[in-house]
Amino acid sequence: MSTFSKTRPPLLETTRPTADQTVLRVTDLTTGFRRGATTTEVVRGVSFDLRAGRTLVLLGESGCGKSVTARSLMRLTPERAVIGGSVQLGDEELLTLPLADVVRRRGKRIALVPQDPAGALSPLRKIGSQVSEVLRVHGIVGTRQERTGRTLELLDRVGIPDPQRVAGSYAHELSGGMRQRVAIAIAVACDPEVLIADEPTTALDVTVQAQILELFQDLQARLGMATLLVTHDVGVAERMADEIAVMYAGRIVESGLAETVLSAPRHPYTAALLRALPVPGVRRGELQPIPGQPSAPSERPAGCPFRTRCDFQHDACSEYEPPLFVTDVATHAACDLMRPSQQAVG
Amino acid sequence: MAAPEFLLEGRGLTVTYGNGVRAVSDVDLTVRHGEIVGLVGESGCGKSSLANTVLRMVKPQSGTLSFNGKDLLAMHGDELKAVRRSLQVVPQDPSTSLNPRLTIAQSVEFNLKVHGWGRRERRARVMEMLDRVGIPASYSTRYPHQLSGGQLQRVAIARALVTDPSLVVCDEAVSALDKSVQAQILNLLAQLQRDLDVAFLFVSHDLTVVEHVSDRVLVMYLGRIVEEGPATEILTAPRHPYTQALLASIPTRGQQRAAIHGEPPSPVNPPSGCGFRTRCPYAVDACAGYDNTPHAVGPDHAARCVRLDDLALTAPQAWRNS
Ligand SMILES: Nc1ncnc2c1ncn2[C@@H]1O[C@H](COP(=O)(O)OP(=O)(O)OP(=O)(O)O)[C@@H](O)[C@H]1O
Ligand SMILES: Nc1ncnc2c1ncn2[C@@H]1O[C@H](COP(=O)(O)OP(=O)(O)OP(=O)(O)O)[C@@H](O)[C@H]1O
Ligand SMILES: [Mg+2]
Ligand SMILES: [Mg+2]
Repeated sequence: MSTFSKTRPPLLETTRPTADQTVLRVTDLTTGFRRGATTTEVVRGVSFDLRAGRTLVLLGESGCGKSVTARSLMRLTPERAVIGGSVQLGDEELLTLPLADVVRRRGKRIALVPQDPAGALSPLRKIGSQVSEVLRVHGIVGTRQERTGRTLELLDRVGIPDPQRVAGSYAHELSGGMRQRVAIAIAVACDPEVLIADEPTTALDVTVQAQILELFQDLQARLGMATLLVTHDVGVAERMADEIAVMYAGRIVESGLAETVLSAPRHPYTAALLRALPVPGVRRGELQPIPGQPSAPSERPAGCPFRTRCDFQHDACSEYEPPLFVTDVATHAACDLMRPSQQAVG
Repeated sequence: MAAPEFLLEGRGLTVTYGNGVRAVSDVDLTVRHGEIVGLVGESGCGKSSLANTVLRMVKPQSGTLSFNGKDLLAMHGDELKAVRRSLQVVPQDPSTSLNPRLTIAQSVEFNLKVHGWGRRERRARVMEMLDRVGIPASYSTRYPHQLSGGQLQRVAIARALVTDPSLVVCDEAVSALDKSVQAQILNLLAQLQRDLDVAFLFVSHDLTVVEHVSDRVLVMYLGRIVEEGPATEILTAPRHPYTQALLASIPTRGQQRAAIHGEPPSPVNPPSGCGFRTRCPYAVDACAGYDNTPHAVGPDHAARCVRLDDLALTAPQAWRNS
């Protein structure tokens, strides 16, 4: 189906990390937005590791802070943002590196598929020149002709049926799903060490989605690419995740091996999220959304932020915001029910 | 005068772009008052092109289109503006369609202002609508870049519904939302349809989403409607091999499968006869000469396939096992 050579050697002769080695380490990442005199924190103390050849899936409801987390890693937040904590790429601290140096690493060492591909593509330049520009900037492929060839290969690889035509088109001449695939082609163009993919397949049907996920898996197997995959699609999570982190109100509330988190969720929020999936055959009005809304970051209740929507709410929940406890199935969950003394009782 | 049977009635619509892409081929599209019509098909098959034709953003080369009995393609000026109030859109990319210089409340309010609502009434309607789609009041003074993807999508939905339209074209209105919010919005749309009698043309590449809300479903492939019928029938007794393949490819928990093999043909150079024949496991020589006339397979249910009769019994099993 794809003419793209799977045996092509890595583009860069840098040493690739060995499998499972931590490539990106995020510690206590905190991002707030200034509004007048107050700063509202929308990402609060998030920590995780991305490992070579592995995928961490970040799951969570709309507005919980997934995209802000993804953008903070790349320092792609607006000026008013205040970022704290640490983001280590290899032995470099991205949060304190001069911005110009971070920019140089973007696309080459760490790449982002943004949630909004339409906004990320230039309306004024043809698609082909936008893809080959990335290759040129990072000095990846020598001649113009080689770049054109590689551009067409990339477009083919992301499942675009008509690479020639698409390369010669402007963004507005493409369908929504084609724009999303172009954004993916741009992100993987330079074989990044770390790929941050923010809802990369929302506009794609299952057939093309499967092809994109295979592409990610191939890059992981061949080049040891480490991946952070932000998705709200549990089906995608099931297929791709080695580990899962579930986010709620700016914090990771549950994390662990993917299979365990999906089959034995220990945080009531994770359990509710899994129940809200549409199952083929369920008719309108019968879906079970999680009742209530997550509260706005500035209006979070004291204690556990999920307690107002939780079926298991009890007194202790308003007293403190639970840290991540180790659970009986060796995952981590930020729920008072998982507090060691509780677990012993219950 | 009695109300026309169809709120929206398109016949023989064809869209060809300057680059030779034939995105929509001879499509009939009808929506009744208060009906939810789902339009489903693979990425690039022409869904947005058809939706944009209905919205008068793309001009069809041929065909007719009427809204409430009036010729939509002949309208301009004030008449078109008046129709736009009752014909609203939730576009596929809300981030590029919301004005970055307006707060979200202003954006929603602007839609009322253009259509002549008074100042006092506007404010209350805006806040009510934002609340219904689950945007907290404290967010109303924010700008689009300060919202998450899913929040923006909900603002776009509020903006479309605020003018009390009779038809809303939703182009992938929920695909950027997580399943929980998606469920809330789908339930909300179903409720609005019941409460306010709004009709929807609901466009999505995701059949699971379409099946949850639609009364009637149109299945599109390479610019043509290959099957249309009541949602329950399309889901339980699909007749076109493409519809059957789409259904078989719905991922169930623990399983993700892609039942359609190969790539869609180029819309610049579509195959003769049936467009799906290059990927269809049942293709025979006759498919290349098929003139694409629809065959009725039940009341309100039609499909475009030459082999409808001999495939009727065997098809679903064949897909499941492949
Ligand atoms: N520039 C900004 N200024 C102020 N608040 C912001 C800004 N960007 C995002 N936010 C807020 O931060 C919170 C987290 O947003 P984020 O985009 O990370 O959500 P998300 O988890 O990616 O949601 P979705 O699934 O809808 O994309 C939201 O409440 C959002 O409104
Ligand atoms: N303005 C345009 N000029 C030229 N070609 C276009 C234009 N708009 C769309 N096309 C082409 O028409 C075809 C159909 O596009 P359309 O946007 O209608 O697809 P779609 O079904 O909405 O797909 P998606 O699910 O990916 O949004 C595509 O091949 C696209 O490249
Ligand atoms: Mg997001
Ligand atoms: Mg579209």
